Amino acid sequence: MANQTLTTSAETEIRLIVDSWAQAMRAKDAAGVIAHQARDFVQFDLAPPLQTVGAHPEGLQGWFATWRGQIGYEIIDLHVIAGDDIAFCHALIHLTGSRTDGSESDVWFRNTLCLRKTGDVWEIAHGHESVPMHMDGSFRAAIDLKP
Amino acid sequence: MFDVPPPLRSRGMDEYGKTWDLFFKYHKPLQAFDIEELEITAGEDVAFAVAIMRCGSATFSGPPEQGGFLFRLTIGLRKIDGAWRITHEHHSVPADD
Repeated sequence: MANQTLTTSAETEIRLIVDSWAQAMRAKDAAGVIAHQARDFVQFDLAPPLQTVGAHPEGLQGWFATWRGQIGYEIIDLHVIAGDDIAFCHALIHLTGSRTDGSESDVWFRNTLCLRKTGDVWEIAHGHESVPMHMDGSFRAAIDLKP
Repeated sequence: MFDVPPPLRSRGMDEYGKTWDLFFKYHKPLQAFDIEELEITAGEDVAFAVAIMRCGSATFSGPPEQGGFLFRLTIGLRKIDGAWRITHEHHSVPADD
């Protein structure tokens, strides 16, 4: 029972971190996004390159600058699997909003976050965001799929 | 599971099993996935693994060059009754557009 209580508490902590992280994304607050990342954070991003290591606030700020106003960043079906000091979670994200080039974005993508607890603090050690790729020979990114 | 080809997600073992139909349709025997990089972070009963994988050139999805293509893989595991079980897989390639 003691272990179950711990796990439930860890899940609650992680949901708060995911909420805070998503709120920073909506507000285009690069420092707020990075605040939850581990120093050796490994990111598999929606767009190339294959992977990045460490914080890249300039990349985030550049991407934020392509949006007018707040970003719609809705987290759907968040599942959290938490141990005492290691956890992972996955969700779908519905990304919406107006871009500075005049276009409207409306994309669903997949998100996995892996966390570890250092001292009393949960840090995001790894993030993986993606859209599927059409395997019909075209290799097009499948940005028009809905759950 | 979040796979490289559509759909957006597959839930449960029945849906997961169906995702292999596409792969094995184009997959030739003796061609496998290679693990290029792998980092494992494990606790007592929850763990995750982060990998860069190579898909062989002999699949429909691979480019014609011998090298195949690289993709990213994240795996989440839980220890259930003393055995590690994969409860989540996320495979992807970066989107070029």
